[in-house]
Formats: sequence, C-alpha cells, structure tokens
Amino acid sequence: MKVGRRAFIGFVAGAVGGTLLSPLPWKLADDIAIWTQNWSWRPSPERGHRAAKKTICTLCGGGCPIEVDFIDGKRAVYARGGDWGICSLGASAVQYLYAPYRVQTPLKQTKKRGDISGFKPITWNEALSEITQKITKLLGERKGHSVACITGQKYSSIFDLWKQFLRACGSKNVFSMPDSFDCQRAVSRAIFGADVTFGFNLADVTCVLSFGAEWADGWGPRAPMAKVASGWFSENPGKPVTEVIHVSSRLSMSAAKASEWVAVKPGTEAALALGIAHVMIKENRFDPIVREYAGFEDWTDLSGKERRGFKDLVLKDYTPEKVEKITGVEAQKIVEIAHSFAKHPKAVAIWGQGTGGPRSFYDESVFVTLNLLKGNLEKGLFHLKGNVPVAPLPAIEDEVVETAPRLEVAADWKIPFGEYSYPLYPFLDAVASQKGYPIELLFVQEANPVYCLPESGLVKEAFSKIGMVVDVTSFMDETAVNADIILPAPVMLERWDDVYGLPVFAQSMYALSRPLINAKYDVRHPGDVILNIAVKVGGTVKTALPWRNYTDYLKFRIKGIADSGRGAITNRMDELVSVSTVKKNFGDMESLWRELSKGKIWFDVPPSAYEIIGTDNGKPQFSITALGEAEMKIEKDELLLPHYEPFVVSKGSGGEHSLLLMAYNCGFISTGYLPNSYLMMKNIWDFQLKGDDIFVEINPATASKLGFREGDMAVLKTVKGEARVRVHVVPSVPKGVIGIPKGFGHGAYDVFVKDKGTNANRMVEIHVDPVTGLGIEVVTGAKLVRA
Amino acid sequence: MSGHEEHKGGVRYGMVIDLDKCTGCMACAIACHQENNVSFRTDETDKTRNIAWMRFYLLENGKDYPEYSFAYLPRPCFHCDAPHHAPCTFVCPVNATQRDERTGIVNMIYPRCIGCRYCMVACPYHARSFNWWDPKWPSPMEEMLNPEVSTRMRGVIEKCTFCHHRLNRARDKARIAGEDPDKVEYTPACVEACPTGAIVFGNLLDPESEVAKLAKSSRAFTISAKLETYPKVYYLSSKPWVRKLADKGL
Repeated sequence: MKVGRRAFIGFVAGAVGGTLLSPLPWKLADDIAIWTQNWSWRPSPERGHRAAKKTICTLCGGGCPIEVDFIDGKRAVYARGGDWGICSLGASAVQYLYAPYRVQTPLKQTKKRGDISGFKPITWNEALSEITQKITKLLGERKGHSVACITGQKYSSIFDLWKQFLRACGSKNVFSMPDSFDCQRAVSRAIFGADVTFGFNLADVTCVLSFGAEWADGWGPRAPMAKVASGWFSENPGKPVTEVIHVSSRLSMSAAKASEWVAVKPGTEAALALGIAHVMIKENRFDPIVREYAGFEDWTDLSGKERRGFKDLVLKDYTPEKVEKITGVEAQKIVEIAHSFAKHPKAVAIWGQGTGGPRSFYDESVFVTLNLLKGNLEKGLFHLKGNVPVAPLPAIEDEVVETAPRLEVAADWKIPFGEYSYPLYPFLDAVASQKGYPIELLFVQEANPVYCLPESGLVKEAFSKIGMVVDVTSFMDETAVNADIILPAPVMLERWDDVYGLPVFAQSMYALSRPLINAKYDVRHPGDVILNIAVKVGGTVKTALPWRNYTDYLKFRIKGIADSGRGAITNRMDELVSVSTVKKNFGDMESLWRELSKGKIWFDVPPSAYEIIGTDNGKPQFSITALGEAEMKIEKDELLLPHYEPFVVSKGSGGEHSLLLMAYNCGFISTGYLPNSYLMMKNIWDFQLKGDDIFVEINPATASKLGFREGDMAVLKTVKGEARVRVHVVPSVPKGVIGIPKGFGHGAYDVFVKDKGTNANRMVEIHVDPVTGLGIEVVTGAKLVRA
Repeated sequence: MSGHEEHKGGVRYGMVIDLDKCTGCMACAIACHQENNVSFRTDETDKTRNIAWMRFYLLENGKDYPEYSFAYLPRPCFHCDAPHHAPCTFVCPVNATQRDERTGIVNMIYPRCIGCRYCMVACPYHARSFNWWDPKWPSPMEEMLNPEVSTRMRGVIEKCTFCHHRLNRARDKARIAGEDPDKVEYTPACVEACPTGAIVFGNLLDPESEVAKLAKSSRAFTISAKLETYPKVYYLSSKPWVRKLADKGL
C-alpha cells in the first residue's frame, strides 16, 4: 500500500489528536511529575498532630521551663523555652533523646578496661546482682568506706540520695563535678559563719563589676542569665542602661558585650578588686557598717596575738601603684573603676572563672568583701541564699558499719574547709597515689570525669587504681568506656527529676521535671538503681532508703516543702530573678506535686542575711577565724584575711614552657556531661575547628615572634601533654598567652564529635586550693612549635 | 522601609536583630535547624559547603589587644523587598523561589529547583545553601524530623523561610476560628528560642508593631543598603564600628 503525503499528514494528525484526547499523555506527565518528586531516599517524616507538652529542663542547673512538641504524642520533634527562651543545650534536648550513642541496655566489660569492643549486654538483674555482691562483700569485710560516688547532678535530690546510700554503706566519699560555685560554701562559712551559697539581685542593678564571671559564656543558668543580662543593655524610661565592667585576661563574649573591658594579667582579678577596695576605703566611699565587722580594723586572735585588719592590709599592700604592677592595669584606671563602682547606688561585684570551675578561696573572699564595702547585704543586692525546705533524709538507725573518714582525710590531706567543698582532686590524688585506703567500687552518675575534669591524666590514673567502676549514664561517653559495668539511664524527657535551680540568683527555687515520653530503651532512673541495689543489699542499707521508687522519694522530698508553708509557686519567670514578697499559694503535698508536675516552679525570697549569719557577733567578719580554729600554722596575718594569693605556673625544666595556656568556655559549646549536639557542631566557627584540627588563639605579636601565620599547623606542649593544633591569630588574648577552647577532642560518642580537635582538659594544670581542696585552673605553662 | 510599595496584602513580615543584646549563644540556629529539618554531616567546618539557614558572622573592630572587640551577627534569609523581585527570585529560571506578595516571604519550592545555583550567586548575603549530598540522619534520629517541613534532596537549594509553615498553621487556625487569616501573628523558631529577646519578628507595615518601631530606631541598619535589595531583616547596634561594617557586606 502506498502512503502519500496527504495520508501521512492525516495519520499523524489523527494520531496526535487521538492521543491528546486519550488520558495517556496526561497520565504519563502526571506519573513523571510524581516520579521526579518522589525521592525515596529522602526521609519523609510521618505526619500527625503536633502538640506541645511542658516540663522543666534539667540539662544544667537552671531548671528552665520548656515545651517539647510531639507528633501524635509519640515523636519529639522540637524543644522551645518559656518566657526566657532557651539555651543551645535545651534547644538540643530532642537530639539527645534520639542520639545514636545512647546506651540501650546494661553492659559489662569482658576485656581490658577501656576496650569498647569488650562490652557485652547483660540483664538488669545480672548487673545489679554483681554490684550487690561487691557491696555485700565489702560490707562483710568492713570496707564499706571504700565505696565512692561522683555525681553530675549536684542541683538535684539524687545528690542527697547518693549521700544516704553511701553513708549507710559506711562511706563519706560522695563528690560532685566541679562548677563555678563550689567555693561559695567555704567562703560563706569563713565570712558569715554559715554553710550557704550566695545569690545576687542581678535584675535590679545599675552597675555590674564582673571578675571573670563569663555571664554570656555559661556562668550561671544560661537562658535566665541571658535574659537578665539583656535587661542590663535595654534602655527603658526611668531605667538607664546598666554599666557592666568586665575584668578578665581574654576577650570573651561577656567581655565584648560589657560597657567596658578591663584586661588584666591572668589570675590577678582579685588583686584588682583589692586595689578598688583600697580606693574606696582611702576615700571613705564605703558603707560605714563594715567598721562593725570583725577584722576590718586590727584584731586579736584566739591566742591573744595582735593581727592586721583588712583596712590596714588593703591600704598598705594594695595601693593602685602596687596593684598596677600585679595586674598590668594602670593605677589611674584602677581609681576610675573604683570611683565608678563607688558612685553607683546599686553596684554588685560578681566573680567566676573563664574555665567554668571555681576560683581560689582567697580570691572569692576578696570579691565578697567588695560587696560588703558597698553595703550590698543591707541593700538586698547580695544575699545568702536560703535553703529549699525539702524533707531531710531520715537518720540511719542501727548503723552497724563504722563510717571511716573521707579518703582525702585518710590520705592526710589537710584541708580546713574541705567539709564545705567536696574536694574531688585530693580524692583522685589519693586514689592515684594509693594513699589512705583503696577505693574498691566507684559509682559515676551522669558525669563524664574522664573527659570533663582538667588534668585528665590524673583522672585516668585514678580510675586505673579503682577495683570496679559502675557508670550510670545515658551515653557511651569516655567515662562509660572506662567503666566495668554501664547502667543505662533515661534522658531528660523520659524521667522524673527535680532541680534546685538558679545558682547566681537570690531566690531559692525548686522544680519538677516530668517524663513526656516512654523510655526508648531498657533504662532505669539512677535513683531507682540506688534503691534497687539498697533492697538487694538489705540490712541497714535497705532501711536507710525506705522508698519504693524514685518518684516516691521525690514526693517525700516535696512533702517537706509543702509542710514548711514557705514560698509560692509561679509560672512567671520574672518573679524568680527579682526579689519580691511571696504569699503561699499551694496546698498539701499532693496539690503541690500536681502543680509542679504541670511545669510550675516553687520559689522563695531570700531570708534576711542576719537570720543566717552564724558568727560570734552575728555580723560578717573579715578575719577568717575559722581558719585559725582549724589549727593551721598561720604566721602571716594576711592568711587570715581576704587577700590576693599569687599562683605558681609550672614552666617545665629550664622554663621551656614560657607561654601561658588559657582554656576557655564558650556559650555555644558544651563542656560538661553532654557533648556538643549534632546541630551545635554545625555552628562551630571555622576558626575554632577545621576538619579535625582545633585552633588555638595567639596574639599577632606572639605569632610574629614565633613565625606563625593564620591556619599554620603547630604542636602545643605543656607539662601535662601535647597536641597538634592550628593557629588562629587574633588579638583576643595578650602577648604570650595561648587560648584554647574547651568542649572538643572527645574520644567517644560517634563520628560527629569523636576526635574533633583536642580536649583542652588533658593539657592544663590544676592547682589544689589549700583551704578548700578544690581544683583551681588558671593558666598552664606551654610552648608552641611548628609542626 | 520597604522598597515594594504595591503590596497585595497589608502584611510584610520582617525581623529586627539587636546585636547589642545578642550573646552569640546560637540557640536560634539550633532551634531553626531543628524545626526545619536541616541536615548535618560529620564535618560541618567547611562553611562554603555546609547547610545553615541561620548562619553566624564574626564582626571585628580591627584593633589590637586590649582595644580589640568583636560581635556576632546572626543571618537568616533577608527576604529582600526590592521592587518586583528579590535578587534570587529574579534569576530563578524555573520559578522555584518566589516572593509571596501577600506576606513578603521569599519561599522555596524544592521539587521545582533544578540546582542551577543562580540564586546562590545572586544573593549578596549568602543566605542560600546547596545540597551537595543527600540528607541523612543517623538512626534513630529520623524520628525527630518535623513533618511540617519537607526534607530536601541532593541537588536543590534551601534557605530560611521565616518558618512559613508556622504561618500556614496560624492561618489555618484562624480560618477554623472564623478569623481573618491575613491578620494572624506567628513566631519563627529562632525568635522564640532567643533567650535575650534580641530577635523581634512581626509585620513591618503595622506601625504599632514592635518590629516596625525598632526598624525605625536610630540604631537600626541593614546590610549592604547601597545594593537596594531592601532586606526585611534589620539589625540594631549602638557601636559605630559595627554599623560601619554593615556597608561592607557579609
């Protein structure tokens, strides 16, 4: 058949028309559109109803209200804050819930300690039985004192539960991980004769003089502190901007945000404070009430010896000219700061350490005296914090096991105020050097001392001398890797907890964190672990811990608050940071429990300081007589007064480590029990971490002298270790100082954080404070050489 | 305030970020990336390749110790309000990114994106990220993904949307309640996260709104104003050196 042109065109036209009239091309186009938009390899989250549930965040000591969004009540997808917003840790709460490095079942090390391949799953019964057998054996040998605990939750009732448990075993070896406020109880004991911490009315001040208190970098509860600080910089009718003077060696974010940054030589902040005190006393610009405080004028000690008073010490030893030589701050500048601090009607001195740890006893005493000179106790700006009236734990009856002294005491450490400070480093030193008595069983609860503690070499050595390490943790972190038995704990969102929140602020605060989702894995609350073991051990240990479960224990604690009739509950966060009056607005324990479970917070205003002060004359004192009573061989008068105590830096043999290494914290980096979350790692600056290389900060002058340029590889050496680093040339640190961020260099978790940079804690040196036994980290001798 | 005078609606969503208050805690970025299913990789330190809807920039005053100072500048998409088009929407050959003239929000339609990256080049603020890899979340982290925001695939561009899915939710809620959906207020994730209250969001056309008042503050400025892209994200700073750096771009 012959097909002509006309027929062909007709056929094509017919075919096109027919096809267009048929559904085929439209169906194909639709299918192609669907196919090209259907990326099966792309996660497509299951849809559902999104709704929020309230609880309290316990990821730090802040106790902030948060809401977590769930899909159909099953999947947590997002965490938001309340009035205070949220910090980077809280915003990461959901990531920690679903983190792949969570421990899912009890594990037992079957190989050498530290070998992660040696962990084998065991049942809870097997794990608890093994621990119980160990304790029972120790109790039978009258070695209950060789059980110890390091907890990461000092702002929670579980701290007291550990104390009760170990006390029933016959041990006093309960320690908590260090923070900026560890020294306060000892200082309070010395100056006020009271075992309390301090609080500030930071929401109502016109001047803040900060001695290394890195309020924008993790000092105090993060979100509330940020909220209060934003008020400092807001100009409102009738409220001028607060003058913030920040004293430190390194330009941190807190220093950059301050109205004025005063750069001092590392570790000399207390000397500057004394220079300021000198000007105030010399010019008679201080509250005259301090003249009534013992030790302000010359005084006589218990033995009848004449001692110098604080006034004489400050006027003679801390003139602006002398302080200039110590701090590097010009004398005229010291006078100007003193005038500024003195003229403000509402000026407070706050203090901290860029490394996040405590300062020395004498340093902190000096900063307290500045507040005394300003009359801040009377003005209601500086407070002795009241306790939270939770029910005290019952006395241990039928105490069959004799309680031995704490290990550092047995190891002959002389720490006058160790009773008030949980001296972890002397404990670790005694374990590592095998003094006193051996530690046969160490519980670590939701802490990561192997990574987090400065001088991590000492920690690892101590761990190697301990008979059995049991880690109660949610994550496979460095400490878990070095444990013998790992007991998985639920994370925040999966459990009941309580928190005594808001260190820094004057108000006492208590809140409950409730579970919002069923536990994802085979986990048990650390409190339930304690109670389970107590039941298995039996005897005194069991009767000392009479609660069926941790929730019962929390109810027992809350009954104390309900019965006290003190305080009030609120969901208004502003009430928690500004001092006001309170009126009880809750009923019995059950109703208080219900209200707290809904996310409300119990709080109370601070008591009058004079109700708490326990000194002989009922007033604060400059003379540290408690130190004298502790039978220290004190000849120098200044050792019985707040003063500046220089520290010695180890510079290695021949002084080769002539630079100073200064570790620092950042507000957006986690340095504690929790690692940086996945989305926190996304935010890390590329001048802090590049690939797996960490950057250290050096001043352009130092870089020029050593021949380094931006990004150069180098080897950082200290007396404690060495590491490969990159150089970031930036004038945030002075000449001769190397800045290194904390929070990197993990040796555990997963590929998202493991081996990213270097752990600064293994490079730094700790000075043990002779008064409190606390580990003080300031700077470490170092050198930087080309790699 | 706005370069676009013929708005179809009475709403022009915008943002003001107070750099005096911002402490660089980066909670805003975490909240943003959590809410919007922004993926992460094992190495996020190459900032030319990683994906960030809210990215931080470092501003320095150029002086030496101890006069040195710095500030952080959080940068979402600026949702430019230049007449007719934002720089990115103008160059998109497939209309994968458009500005909703009723709200002023510059959105992204991911399935339309052909990955040509013209918009990345056109954006003077580097607000757009390209998916060089398929997004993956280590198991079981897919459970935390937000179903209101689709995940993006290799080969497409993504950026801040002012959390417009939250706007859609608020509009739906208003419709159900019989209210005017064009008058709803909503809060993006970064704003509700900020603990210092440094980020304020709202309708720039409402003279009573806080965001409109702050945008007219003597401390207010926009980045690279000379480009006349009319960003709807304003910054506040009392420091002259910070304001001066704004002219130099990001």
